Amino acid sequence: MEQRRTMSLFVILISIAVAIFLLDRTGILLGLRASLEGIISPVERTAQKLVKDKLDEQKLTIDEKLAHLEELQKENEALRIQLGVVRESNISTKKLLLAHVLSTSRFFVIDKGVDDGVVAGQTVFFKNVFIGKITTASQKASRVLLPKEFDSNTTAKTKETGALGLARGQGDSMVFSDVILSENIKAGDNVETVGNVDEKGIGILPSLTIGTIENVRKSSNQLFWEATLKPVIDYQKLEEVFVAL
Amino acid sequence: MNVLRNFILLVALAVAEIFLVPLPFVFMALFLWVSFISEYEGLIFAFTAGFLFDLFFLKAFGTTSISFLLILFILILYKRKVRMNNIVFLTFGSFASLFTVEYIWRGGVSFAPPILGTIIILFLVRLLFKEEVQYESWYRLS
Repeated sequence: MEQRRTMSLFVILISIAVAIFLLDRTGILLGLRASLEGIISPVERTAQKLVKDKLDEQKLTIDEKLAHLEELQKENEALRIQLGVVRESNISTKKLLLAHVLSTSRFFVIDKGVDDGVVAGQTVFFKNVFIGKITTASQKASRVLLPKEFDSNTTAKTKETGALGLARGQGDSMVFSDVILSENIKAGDNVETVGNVDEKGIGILPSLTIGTIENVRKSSNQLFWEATLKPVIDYQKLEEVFVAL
Repeated sequence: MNVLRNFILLVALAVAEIFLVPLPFVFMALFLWVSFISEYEGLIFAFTAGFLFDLFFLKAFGTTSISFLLILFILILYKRKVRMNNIVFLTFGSFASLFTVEYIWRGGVSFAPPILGTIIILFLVRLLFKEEVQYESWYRLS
């Protein structure tokens, strides 16, 4: 009896889940998703702040006004730093959008979406560091594919020698692979994006740092150099990033 | 009342997974639920938790629920074939299901989260269901 009850429940739940999945794929549930995101987005942001803020004495006694001021100052600082970087690089031709990080634990999610002009494929960065590219954009939030994630493949080169290769994600780490043996790479070299922007201006921007080479070895087929890449930034600690629109 | 308490616990675990530690806390709880408390409740919570994750992580609605439900259903079938109160079957079941969840979520082979998750599950089982698990009979597989 219990077995039949469990089986029936499984069939009902999986049917509902499949039906909702199909409805979502057709775009019928976009409105529902946007409304739910409108509700959870502030909650997410507050929770993220609570998790990241250190509960020191100053923060415990601060009132709401001061907290708001601090947030504005932080944003200002981020913008000022970014402006300095922008002046020195080719990012200056792009419109930048400041986004707050909502979640970093399982997936990297930011609080800007289609409503703000974000679309899949755009570059996300901080200072001159490549944070990733937008993979999914909903109305009010977007998911970023970090260079260390499994699906990430970015055309890259070393800053020092211009050796071309691929920065590939391995889950929790990165490798710089497919570098032909005639190229010269060594530990300590910086690896940056080559850039691949389409005619609409969407894609990976050039000259953004991905990581630093840690150790170099030959690939298993002995045809290429392969190196472990150490990220130059701790993705978990990021609070603000920029999207190149 | 118990259902409400369990639901709050599930949401707390989801928050921990989304904001704090990249470990499959929610699936670990679902595994324990289905294995030792109630298959029925476990499936309902799997469905609910899946939607919560799809909303937070911007996945197509239903994706995570489908994967959670399928893995738990296979676990239920496995549970009916073997004795889940045996440490060997418990370890294998938890590792295999956590590995599958991680593979589906991250799109690649990753060993650290399933290994850590299995250790936590074994510890929790020892703590919460110690009367039901035969730790000393790990060598008796029949």
